[in-house]
Amino acid sequence: MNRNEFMNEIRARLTGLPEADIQKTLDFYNEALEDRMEDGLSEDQAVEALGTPAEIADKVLMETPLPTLVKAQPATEPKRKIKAWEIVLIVLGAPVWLPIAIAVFAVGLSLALALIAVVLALIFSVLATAVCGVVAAFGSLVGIIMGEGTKGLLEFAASLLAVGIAVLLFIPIKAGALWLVEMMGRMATKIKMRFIARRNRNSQMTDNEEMKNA
Amino acid sequence: MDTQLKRGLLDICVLAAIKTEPSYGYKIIKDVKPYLTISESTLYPILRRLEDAGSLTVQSVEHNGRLRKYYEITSLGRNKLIDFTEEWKEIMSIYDYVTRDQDAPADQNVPEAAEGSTDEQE
Repeated sequence: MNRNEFMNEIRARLTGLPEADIQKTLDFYNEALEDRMEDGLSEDQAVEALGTPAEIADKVLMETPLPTLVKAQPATEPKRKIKAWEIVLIVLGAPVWLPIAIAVFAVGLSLALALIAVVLALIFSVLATAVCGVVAAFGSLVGIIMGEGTKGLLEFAASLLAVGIAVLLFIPIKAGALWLVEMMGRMATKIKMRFIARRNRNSQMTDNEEMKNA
Repeated sequence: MDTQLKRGLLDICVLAAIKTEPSYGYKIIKDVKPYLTISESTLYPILRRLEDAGSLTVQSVEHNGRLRKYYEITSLGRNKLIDFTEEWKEIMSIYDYVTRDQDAPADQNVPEAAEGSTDEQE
């Protein structure tokens, strides 16, 4: 593979990403080629040493934020003509598949939101317990000074108990929140990998069609 | 090596490669290669990530009639290197603990054995 083919294939595999990103990537690999050739490698050897365009593009795509990746998707969809019977099927089937699709999406989204809400609720209730405990402790101290005696002492004990419970609960809740953040990160990575796999499948399909046409 | 560990170490090695003077892609690879396997396709995302995080800055410098990008470490990047060395002091003490257990299972016997040998000499 020569240098031009190499660069063109990387560009093709990154289609849909912002042009500035593509240009930056190509500049980087151009520089890498120039430096290797200056070091005495031939053009072909230098290209060989950099790895395959597929590897390079996949790594760039993995580092691309998910929203950018999603936006970049339609540009790579194969321009396959949808057959008439497929259109009929899609339109006629709409009452069936549309609600199901919306329902599946909504359930997924609400599960994720519910999980986040539970963790947030736990964090806030622990914070509230701690704050109430501190305030009540001061309040009951004032009560003791004012001469409420046993009642004030009991209130003071209860408020300290509340603070203690809040501090203890904070540890597992913090661990839970961190776990949630990590899981969400993993989900994003998994979704990204699926997107990239689909991109690559699509580009292979278009390649095959181009070969058939040629 | 564990991939998660290697990923973190690569960032550190790239910062270490530019800590004394600004350097360029191919040179960074040549400098880091003796320690960790690294190629352009791994280096490129790392450089972008470090640039986005403000750990390094990029300047284009003319070289042989073309532009070459030089990467320069920032104070934030230097702080990351310092954090790394601090963290590894802890890890090294764990390493010492782990290897001592393997080499001499009966750790407390070592000084006794030494004493025994001196007794024989006496």
